[in-house]
Amino acid sequence: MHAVLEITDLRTRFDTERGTVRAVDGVDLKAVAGQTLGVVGESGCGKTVLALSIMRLVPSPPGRIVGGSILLNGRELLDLSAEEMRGVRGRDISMIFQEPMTSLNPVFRIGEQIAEVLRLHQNLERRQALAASVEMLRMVGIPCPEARAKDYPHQLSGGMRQRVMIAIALACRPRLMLADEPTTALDVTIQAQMLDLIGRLQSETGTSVILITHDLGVIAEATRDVAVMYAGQIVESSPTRELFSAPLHPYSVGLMDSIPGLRAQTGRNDMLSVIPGTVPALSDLSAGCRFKDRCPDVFSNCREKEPVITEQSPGRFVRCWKYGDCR
Amino acid sequence: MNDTLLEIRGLKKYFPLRGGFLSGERGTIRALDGIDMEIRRGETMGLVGESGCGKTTLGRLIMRLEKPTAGSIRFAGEEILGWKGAALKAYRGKVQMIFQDPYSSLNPRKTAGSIIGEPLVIHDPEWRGKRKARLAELMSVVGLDAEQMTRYPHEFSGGQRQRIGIARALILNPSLIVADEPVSALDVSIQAQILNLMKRLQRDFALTYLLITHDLGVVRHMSDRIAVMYLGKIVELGAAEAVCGRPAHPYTEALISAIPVSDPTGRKERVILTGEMPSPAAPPPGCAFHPRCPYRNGVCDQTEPILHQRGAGHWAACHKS
Repeated sequence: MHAVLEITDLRTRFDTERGTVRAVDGVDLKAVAGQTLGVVGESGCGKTVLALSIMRLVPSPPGRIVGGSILLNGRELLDLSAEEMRGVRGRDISMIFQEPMTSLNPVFRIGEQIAEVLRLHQNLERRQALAASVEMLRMVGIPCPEARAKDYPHQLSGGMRQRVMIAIALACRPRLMLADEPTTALDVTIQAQMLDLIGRLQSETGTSVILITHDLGVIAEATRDVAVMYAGQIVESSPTRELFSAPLHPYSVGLMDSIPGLRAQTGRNDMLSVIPGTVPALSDLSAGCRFKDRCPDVFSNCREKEPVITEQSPGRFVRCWKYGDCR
Repeated sequence: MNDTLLEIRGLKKYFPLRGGFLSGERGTIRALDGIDMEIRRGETMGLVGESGCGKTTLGRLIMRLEKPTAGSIRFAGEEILGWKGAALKAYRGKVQMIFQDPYSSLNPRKTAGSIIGEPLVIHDPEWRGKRKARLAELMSVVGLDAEQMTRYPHEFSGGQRQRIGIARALILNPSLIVADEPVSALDVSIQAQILNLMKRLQRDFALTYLLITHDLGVVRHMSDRIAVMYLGKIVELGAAEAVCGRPAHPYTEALISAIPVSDPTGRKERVILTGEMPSPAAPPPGCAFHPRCPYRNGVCDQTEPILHQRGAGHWAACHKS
């Protein structure tokens, strides 16, 4: 299948007072045309830095991309000049963020903010761009789009603002949309509306989506493939169905079991199963597997050597010695 | 009734909606609009609803942090709303709160020990002799190391900070704990640790919980009974299995269908609600939920449904039966 985005061995580091933080450390990822790829992980696992690296928006200093490759339709993004990259953002790849209030400009009308993308990338006249932005608002399901286009962000609810963000992101029909926790700040019923909308627009526009979230429910609901991130690395990647029916990596297993009602129906008197401990500091990683201190299946190999990611069965990759051949 | 710990009747809280400087009141926000509920000794009552439904306001009224517009709150049979001075102080010792955000609810300039011990210093005149022993005891109860007493909040992780908040709530041996979104700010693997801790403490110390959250999955796992709120009113109340297994109100049904399913192949047909929650300043006529309801009919925008019984202890406010 045709890959829109292909990431190989991407490494992003931050230089801090406490040492170098390996926020993204050897990530391979492939987004297939017209599909949704989920990236799931807890806070600090590097999922947002991964998205910012793809957009080449990692704040530098202290951050820098030290190696790897990001191919968008065969074009190496890491070799582009800052000027060329500006042409890519918004036109070929767009991004929506978690917090729709802070990512819209409070002093411009929302119609203008959508029109800006179109004027910049498609060289539309102001009037044409404004007309097109009303169309975009209609497409994302905002009632009375002509009137709403003249509103300022503070006049809209959280759900409406996120719809505006999606309208901006899709205005130029990009090949790829990065959605970083797009529904986390929203209520559950609004979250369901948003996932439905993203799915519908995706089938209309053929845009690939990378959906980054900490919420396994959102992953189950909206993605076809999924990558699980832990401490800067992808520890498991597979078709979403297969991850949920039989997770391989001990971290994936623990994550699913710790959510009430996700895997097993837990009764009133049952305790949830727990992943003990906390995520290791990325500035101070010891040798071996990054999950070793929390892993129920740890054995001697895990403490000595870092596991490599291997293909377990077609399309299912896991980074764990349990499935390696050196046992 | 001996096993009712907290009894709420007809509780209302209206906030004035002011225009601007000098322009006076423009209306009222009906944050709570006639709540009836009782919490039994030793149970966990789960209160779910989306942001703006009034669930946090209800928690604040129970804590006596706000004064209600009307209604009554009885604690162990006694009306608390008139209490002042020593009686109010004693009540606040018996009812404690766990807050959502362990980052902003702990004073960054105090050590863990002085945060946890503060209620004791305020409420117990003879605290000097027992503070240290009690601190060590509580820290070990919530899974912290007593040697961490002298550390500051920024030296702890999110989950550990929530443990500090829980230890502080427990130090006076309260009977009721109001937990307002206790795990929403935490990562899922840490959420499970805190939920397990809360369950264990309930068993060991015979605690009663009012668990306020927007997460129906958490509520279903933790609660004996569940109350669902929408726009300042309770729309459904009953045993957790009944409310989750046979929801009687369309809003509850939509909330349940928004819970993640384990198996992406078996995706159920989701009930996706259109529109958003209306403003509590201008609630729609009739049933407040009718503009979003997939089952609405002629009467729904005319008459307001009242709670009536659907099964043993299972109540819902909906015209559909």
